[in-house]
Amino acid sequence: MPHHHFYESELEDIRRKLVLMGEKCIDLVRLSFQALEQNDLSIAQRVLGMDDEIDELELHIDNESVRYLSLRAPVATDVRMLTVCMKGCHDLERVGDEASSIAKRVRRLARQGRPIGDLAGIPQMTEMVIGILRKSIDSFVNESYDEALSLPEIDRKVDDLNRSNYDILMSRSADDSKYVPIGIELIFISKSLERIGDHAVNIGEEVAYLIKAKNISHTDLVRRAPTRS
Amino acid sequence: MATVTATEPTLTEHTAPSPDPSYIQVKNFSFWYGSSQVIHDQTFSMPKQKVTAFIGPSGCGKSTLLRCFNRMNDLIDGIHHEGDITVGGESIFNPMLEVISLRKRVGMVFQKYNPFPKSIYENIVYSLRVAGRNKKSELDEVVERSLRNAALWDEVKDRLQDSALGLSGGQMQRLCIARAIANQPEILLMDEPCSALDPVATGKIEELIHQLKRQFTIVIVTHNMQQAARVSDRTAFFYLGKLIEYDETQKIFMNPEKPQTEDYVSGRFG
Amino acid sequence: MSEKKSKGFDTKMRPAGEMYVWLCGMGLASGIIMVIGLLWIIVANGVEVFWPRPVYQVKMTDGSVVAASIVEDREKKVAEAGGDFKHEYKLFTGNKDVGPQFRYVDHDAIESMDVAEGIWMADREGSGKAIFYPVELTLADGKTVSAESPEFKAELQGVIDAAEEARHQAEVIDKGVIRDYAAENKELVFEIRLLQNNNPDERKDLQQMDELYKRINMLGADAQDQRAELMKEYDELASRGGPFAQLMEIHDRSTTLFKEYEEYFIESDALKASIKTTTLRYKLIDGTERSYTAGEILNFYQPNEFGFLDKVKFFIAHFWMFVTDSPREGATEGGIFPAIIGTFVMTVLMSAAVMPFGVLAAIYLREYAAQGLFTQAVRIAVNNLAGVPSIVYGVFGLAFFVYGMGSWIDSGAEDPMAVASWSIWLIVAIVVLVALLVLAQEGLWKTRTWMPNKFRQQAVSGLSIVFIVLLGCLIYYSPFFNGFFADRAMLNEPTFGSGGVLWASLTLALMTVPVVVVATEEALAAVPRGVREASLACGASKWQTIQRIVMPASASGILTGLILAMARGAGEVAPLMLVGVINHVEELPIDASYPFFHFERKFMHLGFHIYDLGFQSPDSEAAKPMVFATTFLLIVLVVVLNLGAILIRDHLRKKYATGTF
Repeated sequence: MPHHHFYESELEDIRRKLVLMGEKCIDLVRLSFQALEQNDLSIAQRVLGMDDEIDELELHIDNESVRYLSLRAPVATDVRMLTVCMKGCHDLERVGDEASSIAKRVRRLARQGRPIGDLAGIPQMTEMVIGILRKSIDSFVNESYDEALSLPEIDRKVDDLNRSNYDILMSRSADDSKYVPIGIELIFISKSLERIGDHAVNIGEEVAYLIKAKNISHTDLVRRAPTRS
Repeated sequence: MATVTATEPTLTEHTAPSPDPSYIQVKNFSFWYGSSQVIHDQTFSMPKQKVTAFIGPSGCGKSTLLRCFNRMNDLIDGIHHEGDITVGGESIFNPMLEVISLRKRVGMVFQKYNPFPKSIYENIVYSLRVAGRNKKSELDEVVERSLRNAALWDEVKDRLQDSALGLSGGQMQRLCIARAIANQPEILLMDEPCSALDPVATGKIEELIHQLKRQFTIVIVTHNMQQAARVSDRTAFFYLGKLIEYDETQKIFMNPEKPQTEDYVSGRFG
Repeated sequence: MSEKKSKGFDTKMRPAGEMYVWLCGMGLASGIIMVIGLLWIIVANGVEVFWPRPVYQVKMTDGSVVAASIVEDREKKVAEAGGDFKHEYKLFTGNKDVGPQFRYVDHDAIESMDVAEGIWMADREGSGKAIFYPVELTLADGKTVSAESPEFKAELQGVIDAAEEARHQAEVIDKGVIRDYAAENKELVFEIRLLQNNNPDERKDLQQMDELYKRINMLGADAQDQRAELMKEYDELASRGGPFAQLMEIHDRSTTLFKEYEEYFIESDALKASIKTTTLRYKLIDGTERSYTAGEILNFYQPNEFGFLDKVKFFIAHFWMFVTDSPREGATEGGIFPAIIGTFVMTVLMSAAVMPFGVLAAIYLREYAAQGLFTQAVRIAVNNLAGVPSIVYGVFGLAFFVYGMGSWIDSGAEDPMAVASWSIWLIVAIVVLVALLVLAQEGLWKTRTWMPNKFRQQAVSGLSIVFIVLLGCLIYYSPFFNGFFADRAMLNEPTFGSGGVLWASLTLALMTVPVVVVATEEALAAVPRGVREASLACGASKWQTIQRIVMPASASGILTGLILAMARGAGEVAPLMLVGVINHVEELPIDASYPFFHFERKFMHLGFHIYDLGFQSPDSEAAKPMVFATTFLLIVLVVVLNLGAILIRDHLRKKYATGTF
């Protein structure tokens, strides 16, 4: 029966904060898509507000991690957990930023006063991105190596969707020059979602590192599909 | 969809306020062994029911200062001091104060566990017996309470009459802590209490210190910086008999003011 | 830089100093060999005494025949034979009443030597061993029993048993009732001598009168004329009145006392006479017949008929007798019981005296005294005391304990002070005591006072010494104390004023104090600082720390000191000869008569007994085996005492082991 240190709750707290941050990010992505779908500025505003909370959480996790590193002299899993939390919170913060960037684009689209029309593969992509984010958080919570390694596969599909979105939206823009501003915004939104997927994969890699103590980024395990030129 | 509720930050008690921030006061205190001065004009105060750690390289006077708080140095010939130390506003060098009554208020745990060659029971009740308290029911109660406080009760409750020397090192040190708190002192001095113990026993003692600070004001001398960082609320760094820096432990270990302190806590000293 | 080439292991390397292990081993081995050799000589010779030897019929070339057991077969250098070696036997022939007990006979002078079938040996009271063939036993009623008759042995044993019983009864009377008489009579004798002392002018006449009284009493019933004559003379003196009348009164009381006890004297005498009513006629091996009072034979046996079991029985019986009997015939026969008891009592008393004294001194020296030059000097002085020759302690004991304290207890100071000056000194002592208490109290309650700590301590120490000296002098020179046994002392019958087991014990205690002090100091120093500090940190005072922690932890070391002291004290002889040991005692220092412990009595001691047997005995050849046997027992006694102490020590060691330090 292992003995628990009285200060282990602090580490647990940091971990819980990261999970909370992940959940908030998922909400954020969902909300930003809702704003796009319903063309609802108030939801977009809410997204921007929630991003501040995420930033605060990142700061908190960062500070507590450094405090823990300085005062508790962690080793082994504990120290990996802290680096994962620090890197992970950074990734999640980026996720939050991408979500708020989507919200900003929604705002810009709304200002155009023209209906957006068909969102191409974006709804499907959003579902996939939320799925991959949830999976990355789950893999962290459950410390599941397999789950973490399954992320690049989904990410490849997200990337594929992004490319097809690009093709669709570009051709629409070519057909209709008035569609160009909408098309560009949507391409950026699609790109943001793709980036969120990448961050989720990063988190997965970090979780894999947490579990196996081996950095698997840039290895075959997580190699993304070759980019089409 | 998972609903996420923001949890309150579970910060450890390092933020809880002390009932008396200047419970132990060291005022312009200097100390000499014969003609060599080992403590140079130190002034600082320690909060009640908090853990204060003394760190510093060997020979920096931290143990000497610790042993001034219960006047253990009185045993040595040729010592003298200037300045004063007060506990709860009262000077411990008051000439009318009998040192025994001071030591009843200030318990001490030593570097090397030093149980008496007696039974576990007799070890604990020693401070009561020398004070002339011999009532069986009272002693039994004190033994149980002290051992529970020292997280040793479950391990030894069936062999209280066995020799204390049959315990393991960590158990002996916890027994010494139980012995030191048996007489309900207000202050607990710990002179490198874990330096002779393995990490598991050390962990248990640190846990204990963390528990005990709810009742006692603890001053701990340690060579183990991580230990100071883990268990203490405030840390004082001494060097060559001088108090270099004294602040919140977090401050000392994350962002010390003085470069000397930084060098020491980061192990880059000398 | 090229990589450093590994040289591999140096297989020729050897640890330095290995040969010193051999040296140490050899040192130990030679020590052990010497000790074992010594013990072997003592044990072999000591035990052999009780083992029955066969008796031979030795025919000499000159035609004479003796019955003897061989004590020793040895070589001697003979000058006439040109320095050649000749063998000779040392023979034990017993029969001290006929000739010498031991004879040296050359091998050449012996014609034949055969086991003397059926020969008897007997221990006799007063004449040692007899070697003989029994002839005839004459009983008290005149009946004779021939040695050939089957009842002979039983009859003889009966006679011996009866005699033993009579002796025992007589002893009971002598040591009981008659001793009471002697004690009471002694009082009267004292009174008489006191009377003579107090009347120096009439002393001569008083002595004459006393002389007359004794002569009258000694006269038999038939000498009536002489009695009347003496009575006339006596009455004449008595009629002078004054001290003479007093003397007569004492004499009357003496007579009454004697009348009171006369029957016991008669009974005792009758018992003693009854022993002498039987006669054993026996024949020596050369055919001469002799008679001996059968009742004075203590036991008889036929050594040549012994089987192994008989020999063991004989051995045990004789060994037991040796341990439990008093010595007889100049200590060449009988046992050494009084010496065992004397040694035991002395050693125990010595331990009881040296323990508190040495331990307290060591505690002060180690725990309280400031460790300076003076303390070191005291320590060296104490250690050097161990090197003072023991006879010097004897002389000191004689002067200080016997003539100083002993005489004072007997009769007070020789020159007591006048009441006036004594009172003045008493006041001085009280003043010193008050000053001492005030200063000591200051020290007890306050850590800082008007006087610096160091000076106060010195003042307290100095005043303590002054007070002790004053108190000693006040008691010694007290004009109000004239001793407990002044009358006896005046008549040269000192009680405590002559050597005794108490003074001997105290002398030896003084001698062994350094051993105890050194051992105790070492034991105290070995108690780890950690536990002392722990005790003080628990709020214990220094004395509580010493009493509850230091003393128990060092008890085993202190007892080691006591063991060493006991071993040294029990084996010491020289000082004892001056302070109370003698070679024969009638009364033991512990007996059944009130107050049971008589520590003023002189005593026997095994060590002195060895010396006495070996060098002062009238028959040193006969005493030689007893020397070994006594030495053996002394060693056994010391071992037993030490074993006791070691058992206690090991118990304490287990209980208070500070093994983790």
